[in-house]
Amino acid sequence: MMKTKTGKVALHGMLITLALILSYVESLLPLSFAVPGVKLGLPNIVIVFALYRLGAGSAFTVSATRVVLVSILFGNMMSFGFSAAGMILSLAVMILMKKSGKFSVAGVSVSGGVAHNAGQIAAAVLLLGTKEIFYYLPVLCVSGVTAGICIGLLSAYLIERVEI
Amino acid sequence: MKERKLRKNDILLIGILLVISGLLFFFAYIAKDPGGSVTISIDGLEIMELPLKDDIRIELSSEHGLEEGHRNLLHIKDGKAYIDEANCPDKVCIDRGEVCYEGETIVCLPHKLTVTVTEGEKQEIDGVSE
Ligand SMILES: [Zn+2]
Repeated sequence: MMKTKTGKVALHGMLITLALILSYVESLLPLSFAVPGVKLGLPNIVIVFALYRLGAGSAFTVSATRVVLVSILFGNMMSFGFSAAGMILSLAVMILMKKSGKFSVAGVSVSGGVAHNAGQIAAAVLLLGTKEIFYYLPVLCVSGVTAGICIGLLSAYLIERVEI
Repeated sequence: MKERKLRKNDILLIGILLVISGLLFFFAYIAKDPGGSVTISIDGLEIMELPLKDDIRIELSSEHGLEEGHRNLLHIKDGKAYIDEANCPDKVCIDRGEVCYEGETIVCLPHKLTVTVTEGEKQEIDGVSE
């Protein structure tokens, strides 16, 4: 499927669709725990998969398109700012961690999860001009680590098994 | 490709992150004091401070600086503040529940609203006997 240009476009389209579906599924799960931003990071499975199997460029295309589409479909400009900040920081960290060659998918994914939360908090501080949001950092850090481990192990399994 | 195996570095990284989270937790939660009032900010601008000891029900709207049509109903009761009604899309501010300790914050991102517990005038809780 990756041989032709059309195949490549189709594959990216499929991954973006999958990431969108996972974003939607995640929005249905009552995981907010009364703390804004606590998420499982299900779409990250697709991003990590794209990063390992197709490269950094593809991972960027898929995650950037996902953020834009999710904001158009379910959000507003504010939520776009938060998601974009989280996504860019998370992807940058994951690319660097992968390049270092010192970590497995789980380590890369955990850092991505934590960086995603950190990016969202930084955006919230900038957009809302309030420091109190740092109060949520511990919760977001713990949830980022645990979710990152689960997502990382799941992604690692898929990266090994799925044929494309 | 043996990507699936957790390496020593991964475990080290996860351990460090968990320790940092634990420390942050410790400082954020162990050292908390009941607050005396709540400060309401809209778009980063402080608009009012309300004492936690009173029983107050206030509807925040465009009158207070929210965007036209945005609405959050803030309730203060028994020293705790919470939002029990809002027309924001995500309702995260309602899910946040009650806040009463210094530094605790209710955030309504879609409405750019924050309600933070501050020191205010302290309530005399302990050390006073009849
Ligand atoms: Zn809200």
